[in-house]
Order: sequence, then structure tokens, then C-alpha cells
Amino acid sequence: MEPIPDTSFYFYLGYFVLLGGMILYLGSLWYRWRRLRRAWEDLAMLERLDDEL
Amino acid sequence: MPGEERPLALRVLWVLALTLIVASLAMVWFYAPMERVMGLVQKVFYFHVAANWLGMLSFIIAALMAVLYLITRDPRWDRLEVAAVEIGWAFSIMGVVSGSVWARPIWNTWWTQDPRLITVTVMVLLYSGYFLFRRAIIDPERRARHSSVYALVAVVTVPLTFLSARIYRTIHPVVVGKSSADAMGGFDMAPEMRLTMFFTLFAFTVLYAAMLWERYRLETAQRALEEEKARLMEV
Repeated sequence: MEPIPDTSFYFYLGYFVLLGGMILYLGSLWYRWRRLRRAWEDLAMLERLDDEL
Repeated sequence: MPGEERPLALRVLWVLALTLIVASLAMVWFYAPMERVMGLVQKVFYFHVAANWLGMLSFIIAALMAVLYLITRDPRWDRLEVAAVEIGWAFSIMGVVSGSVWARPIWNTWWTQDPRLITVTVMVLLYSGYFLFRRAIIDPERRARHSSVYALVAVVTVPLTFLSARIYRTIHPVVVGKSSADAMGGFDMAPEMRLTMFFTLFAFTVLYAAMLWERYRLETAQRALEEEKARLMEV
């Protein structure tokens, strides 16, 4: 019986790509939410300043 | 901020999706047997197939949203369409890159001029253009309308990609359904492999539902911000 080839490096690399890609995408969603929240805060501050003036 | 509070159903969906992904990883690692010819790298197959499944499913959903937008002109369908295209695009890229990693030890090359590889690349490039196309149109109504037509045209690449390995002479394996009579790839699946594959597909589909909902909420909140900015500019 022939021995099973050692392709473990490519196995880990494949899952690094797949899981890394998923984490990156989920991270981008989180980052965009955070950026949006800050933009709303800035807008609220501008409105407050506008009212004060 | 509108839409900041995440609905309970979405939170439950996220927890369920992430639990299923961890469970499917455990199945890949500990339950699915090792293939004798390819060795450990064959296990890339489970997430590679699931990523591509999710990509194609997402592009089909985007096309359905495009049809609904063109019929109703309701901007909610447009927001869902953008969300679906973005997720499909991201997962298709993951599918292509992971396939290339799998190909290296098995085909002895990162890339080859195979019908499946070419059609999937055309699909990814076409959907990359979708985002550039959207950015080029300023008027929201016109942008939504034209993007819907774009999504409808681009979806042609999905069946083309799916069928390419089934129609043409290819080295890319077909594991569900029949391949071309003179196809050269392929491998037989043990029952444990089949179960792991279908479980992973299910896990990715649940994850997709959570991501689509989340991305839709984000798109809605972004547009609300744009409208608020426009309102303030008028004042």
C-alpha cells in the first residue's frame, strides 16, 4: 500500500485563507458599523453647535 | 443612530451560525476521514465548496432582488441586492484562492487554463465591476435601476460556472451530480465525507442568512446617514 502524501502545509494554508477571509469580512462589517456610529455622533454634535449659534 | 439596536432574532442567528461553523470545523478535523491519494489537503474541499456555494447562492439572490426592484422600485430590494452581491463576491474570492491552494500539491500548479477556473474568474471580475459601476452613478434612483440590470446580466456567469465542470473536459472534480464523460478529475466520497460536506453547506447557509441581514441593516443605516446629511445641507 502506498503511503499517504504529506500535504498538511497546503491544508493549513487553505484554511488560513478561508477562515482569514471570513474573519476579515466580519471585521469589515464591524469597522463600518463603528465608522457609521462616529459619523452620526459628529452629525449630532454639528446640529448641537448649530442650535447654540 | 437608526438601526443600531440589533434585533434578538439576528443575535440568535449569529450565535447559531458561529456555533455551526465551529461544529463543521470540528467535523472536518476529527470526523471526516483522510483521503488516501491527496492526503490532508483534500479537507480544504469542505470549506472550499461551501464558500463557492455561498457565492453562487448570493449572486442568484441578488438577481432576484434586482427583479423585485425593477418591478416595485422599492429601495429595500436595492439594499438587499448590494448586500447579496458584496457577500457573494467576498466568498467567491475565498473559494478561488482556496481552490488554488488545493490545486498546488494535486495538479502541481497554482493555476491552469481549465474551463471551471476561467468561468469562475470571469464571474468574480464581473461582480467586481458591479461596485465600480455603482460608484459611477450619483443619482440614487438611477444607480439602483442600472445596478439591477447589471446584476441581472452578471448572473448569467453563475450557471456557466456551475455547468462548466459538467459540460467541458476539465480536471476540476465534480462531486455532486455527473461530470463530463471525458472529465479527468473527481474522487469518491465516503459517507462520513458526504455528511461533513452537507453539514458544512448548511452551516455556511445559516451564516449567510446572518451576514445578509447584518449587511442589509448596515446599508440601511448608511443611507439614512446620507439622507440626514443631505437634509442638513438644505437647512
